[in-house]
Amino acid sequence: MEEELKELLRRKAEGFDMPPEPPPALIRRARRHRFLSGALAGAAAAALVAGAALGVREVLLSYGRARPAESPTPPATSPEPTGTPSPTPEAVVTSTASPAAGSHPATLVAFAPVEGGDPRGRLILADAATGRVLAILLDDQDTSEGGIFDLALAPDGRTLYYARGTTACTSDLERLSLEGGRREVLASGFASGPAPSADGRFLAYLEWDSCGGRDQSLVVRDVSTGEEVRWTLRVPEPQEADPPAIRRVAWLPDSRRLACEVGDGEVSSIFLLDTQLDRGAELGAGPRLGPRDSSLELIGPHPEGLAVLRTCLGPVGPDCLAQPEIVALDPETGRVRAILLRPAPRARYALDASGRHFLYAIDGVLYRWSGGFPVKVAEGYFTATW
Amino acid sequence: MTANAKAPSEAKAAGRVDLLYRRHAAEAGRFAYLLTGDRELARDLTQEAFVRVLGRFHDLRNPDAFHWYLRRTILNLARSHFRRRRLERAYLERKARQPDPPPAESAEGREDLWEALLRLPARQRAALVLRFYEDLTEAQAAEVLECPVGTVKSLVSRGLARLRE
Repeated sequence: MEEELKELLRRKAEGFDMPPEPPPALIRRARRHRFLSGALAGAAAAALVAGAALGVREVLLSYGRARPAESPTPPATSPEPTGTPSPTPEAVVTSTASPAAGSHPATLVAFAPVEGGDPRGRLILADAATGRVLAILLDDQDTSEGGIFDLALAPDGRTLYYARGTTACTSDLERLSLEGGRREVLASGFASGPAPSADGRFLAYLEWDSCGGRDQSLVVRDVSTGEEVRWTLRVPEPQEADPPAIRRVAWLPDSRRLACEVGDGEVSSIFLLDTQLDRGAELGAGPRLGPRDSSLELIGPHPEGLAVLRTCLGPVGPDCLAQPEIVALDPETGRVRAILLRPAPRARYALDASGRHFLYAIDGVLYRWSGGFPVKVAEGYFTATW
Repeated sequence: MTANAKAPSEAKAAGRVDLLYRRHAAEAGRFAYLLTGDRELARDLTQEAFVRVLGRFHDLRNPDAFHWYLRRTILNLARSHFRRRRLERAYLERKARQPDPPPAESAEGREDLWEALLRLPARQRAALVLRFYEDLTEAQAAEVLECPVGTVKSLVSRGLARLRE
């Protein structure tokens, strides 16, 4: 089927043509769009004022035009540490509060491809300031089935959890001791998305019932005893081709409640699950957090609340920008408590244990952000955490 | 004075647009077409993506950067098109009634596969196009789709399973 599909896509693509020259209207609009960008900056500033009026606290606003990195081509070679200030926001910072308190972690863990015939990768420990490789944790790993992904460091900073792709639709969950190098498989088959609790006592992860299955479980395992509790997300009939699924979970600092991002097609919602009280509860049945007209992708706990990437789905206006933003939700009320970054690059973010320092990759280039300007850390990284 | 000073700069900008368009439009348009299955929509999305990327990036130093930002923008525009207007289902039904006339060099006998591909949910179709047309790895596709690698696995396996039905 894969070969048939490749051939079909190739032939269909060959049968499509664009006008050979840019239409004059395109050139005119490209010029005008620069002014539009300025207007959006004005809208962002207006939203900032509106947010302040509504009691939204600590706003870290970094508005600017994004600019591609030097080599955003998907990485095919070993990471090239750079440690240079990022060109990502060609930033016009219209307003900033104080940068995040404290310095970012000294090191990060990343999975990066290595050069070679077959697709191979390696898990590395790198200097978070410069991207310089400090140690190779796992070398010569197969990446043909997704490699190593969903990296999550335990709060002690010495234990790494991750998923390893084993076939096109299966993956195992593994634990690696960063000190002794001991590696063990925690769950086989269809497990991914590990999330250690803040106190290190529990590990939450996601598990499908089968390849392309319909039922997905959220599993909470007691790390010391191995005891597990499961919640199952069931898809109501009639079944959709792209059924709702839990995409990511993150613990709140109390190590008791879990924030769950449930995705349904293009729209994601955040729900809270109290792992002590809600045993047997139906996932996704409770009230969703955050603004109703938004798709909310979970990032993790932040000192201001729960950091999420918000994409507004309503009509564009001062409170509903065309581009995503990172906001902090009050986990108790679900209201937006702070706007952390507006607009924000569309990316997968990892937060450090303090919740103040963000890490994200775009087109193979890794950036860190702690308020103010994002800084380019290295090139050639698939995924990283700290 | 102002007009005279402005003219060379505008001509230069137009020349740059022209150059970038000729270099990237055909491939970007094909990508948009595979995502949408609609020729006119693909052309519109591609041109809109050009406008946005050109408007955002004044200082393009690497042609590859343009290539990848263009694709990401097309993907996001296609998402917005289907999501904001909530038209996907109606659109696909309309497409099913009025299929795009296949080009002469179409894969004969595989129109059924093409139609099945167009009936997939947008995310599944995007994942399949990124994996099997753009030849991205799962990790790279995850980055473009801004989702976990596990989700790409799920999208691709479900998409292929639906195509096999």
